[in-house]
Amino acid sequence: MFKKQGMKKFILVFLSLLLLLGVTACSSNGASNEEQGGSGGGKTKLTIWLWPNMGIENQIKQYAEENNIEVEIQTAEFADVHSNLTTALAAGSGAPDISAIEVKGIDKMKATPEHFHNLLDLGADEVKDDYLDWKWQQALTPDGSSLLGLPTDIGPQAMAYRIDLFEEAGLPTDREEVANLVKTWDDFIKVGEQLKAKTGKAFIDSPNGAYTVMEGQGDEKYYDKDGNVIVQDNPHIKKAYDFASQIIDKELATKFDQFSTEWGTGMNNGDYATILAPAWMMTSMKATAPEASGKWDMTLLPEGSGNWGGSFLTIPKQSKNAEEAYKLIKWLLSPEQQLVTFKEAGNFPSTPGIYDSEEIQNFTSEYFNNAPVGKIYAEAAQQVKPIVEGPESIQIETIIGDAITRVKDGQDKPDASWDKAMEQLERELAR
Amino acid sequence: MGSNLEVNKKGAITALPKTRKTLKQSTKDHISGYLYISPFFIIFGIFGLFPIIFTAYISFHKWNILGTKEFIGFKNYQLLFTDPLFWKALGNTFSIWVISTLPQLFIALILAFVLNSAFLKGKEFFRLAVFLPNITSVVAVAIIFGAIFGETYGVLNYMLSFLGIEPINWTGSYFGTHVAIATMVMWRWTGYNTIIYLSALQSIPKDLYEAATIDGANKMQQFFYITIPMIRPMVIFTVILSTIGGMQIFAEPLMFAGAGGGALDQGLTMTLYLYEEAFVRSSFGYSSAIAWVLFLIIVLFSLVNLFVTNRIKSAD
Repeated sequence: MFKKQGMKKFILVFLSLLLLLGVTACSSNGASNEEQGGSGGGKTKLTIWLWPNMGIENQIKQYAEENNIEVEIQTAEFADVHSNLTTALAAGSGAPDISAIEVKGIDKMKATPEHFHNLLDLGADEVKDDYLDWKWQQALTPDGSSLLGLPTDIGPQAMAYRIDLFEEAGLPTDREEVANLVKTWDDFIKVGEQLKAKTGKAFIDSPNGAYTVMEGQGDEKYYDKDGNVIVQDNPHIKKAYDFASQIIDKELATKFDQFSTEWGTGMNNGDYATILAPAWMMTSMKATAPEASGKWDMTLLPEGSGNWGGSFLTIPKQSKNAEEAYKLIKWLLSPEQQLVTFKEAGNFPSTPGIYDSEEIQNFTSEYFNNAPVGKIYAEAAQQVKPIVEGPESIQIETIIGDAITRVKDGQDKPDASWDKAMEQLERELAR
Repeated sequence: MGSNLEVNKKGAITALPKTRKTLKQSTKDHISGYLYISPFFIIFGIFGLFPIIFTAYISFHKWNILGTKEFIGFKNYQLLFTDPLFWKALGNTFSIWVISTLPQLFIALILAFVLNSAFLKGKEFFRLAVFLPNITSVVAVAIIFGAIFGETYGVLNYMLSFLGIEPINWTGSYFGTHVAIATMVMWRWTGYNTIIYLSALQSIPKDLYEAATIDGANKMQQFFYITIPMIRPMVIFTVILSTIGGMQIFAEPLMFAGAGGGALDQGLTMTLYLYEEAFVRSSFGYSSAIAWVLFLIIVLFSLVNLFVTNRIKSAD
């Protein structure tokens, strides 16, 4: 009797332990893999910080193989890459050899260029003419003496639309016709109301997306050329905000937050008919809603295109392999390689020399019903007006974005929410 | 490396006779005593004390970590006490703490009682099962709960729809976000508290229950008049731990409500606010001030706890 019970207990304990092992096994596996990646021989080793979906990982690996160097690509969330880099720079150690920085982040770094290798000293001047001038200026300190990074992609915008929903609403589905249908933002609202009435579906994914796209179409955004904050005096910002409020008021948008899980599900299921998409959004759409391939099409935005996002590759001063790192990014961001990135991932080149090339003009995407996305984004890129970003751009964008979300969630009236945002802005900038 | 050690050894050997001459045995005992306890103090000094003092130092400056520090006196504290976001963060923290801790400890107590009862088969399995949530990754938990609490495609709203309840916007309201975060905390920590209560229950002598049964007390009476008083110290222990944990809640709101705690700042807790100020807005001076105020609040709370505990003890 006693023996039997002992056996039973033993089996129970054993099974419990097995369960525990199963839970912890996954995590320990991951750790050991990382360690293996860390050990290396006598080759030059470059550590590179990126965020997901930048679309350049494969080319970096290819370069490493061809040039007999070792690379370690460490991916973190978009915001984390920036805050980790700031911390590493301040701590004086831990920074990578190459780090990606987004356009709004690079303005913060421009205040302290001494933390980065000046790419002009490494010979960046010779490739200056390859890139869009406004994009180049964004990484250059105001006095023009120091260049922090080489441009990766830019974010010209187009409108992605669901063919099936447009059909259901009795709207044209041909690219040209759709572009003619929504020439202005007023048209956009009108068409949206029609689609909503016929299908019951939302016309656009999110009012926040509409706001970000529209604010980018102006001549100025949050800062004027002298670096003053002009959020309250810039009529274009208010116009974009009112447009977003109007979309919410007419219930033309879904309640999904952009880039959330539900937003992705909605994209797959066809819960909304349009996404105002910067070029890099193509990658994100393909990854979040692979099943919707062929159901989306693409055409030009109403009232021209602004620029949304786009990044730079920088070499922190802590890097001991600045020469090697520079060689890599010079190769990686050359017009030829940016073309490869665009074809593979959809990130649009910052090198205007290739916009008219056949490879861009004739490039179509199966996901977007074989739309000539290369031609569309090249045309959008020509419309982009250079905009001055400032050190607090990210913060300001978050505050106004929150104001729109409050209205969307029915927690605030548009005017009250705007006033709250402006108060918060004043307080935060005062610190 | 090897040669260095030898040198050290030689050095020590030559030095040894000298110390023998000059030091008394009692002094040597004192020194060795301090040496034995020194690892703790050295490590505490580096990782505990220094950051606390340095944080206090930074809190009097305006500093964006990459640039230079500018001394501004008590201005950070002044701004902090007039900052509506700070009070909101404080309110959120307490609200989430109350709606997570109270039900959590209550459920843990009941679970522990069930796990300890004689009629349950496969106790070891269940004991492990209740503890499992505690060792899962917070990030994974937050992602799963984020999916459960989705407004349109969430499982919870789907189930509520059978009861005729309209879909609730969990991420976009104070109520929804606080409940969702509290649920995550409860899911993770109930098992932990259960195990603590369970060990307390097992230390209660059986003869108390036997005597009570003979006297005719039913299970309910036994629970309230024997079990609860006997495990009181453990209850106090878990309350203190939950208080400290609740004041520092961070990963759940960050993952669920997003950076910044959502559009209404409905998920902004004290530590999340601190993190935002430092690593998103680069106001390291300001966030250091928050850290110090948070520290003082926790000290205050611990004192209140201590006071209450003493009262309970003296009541016995």
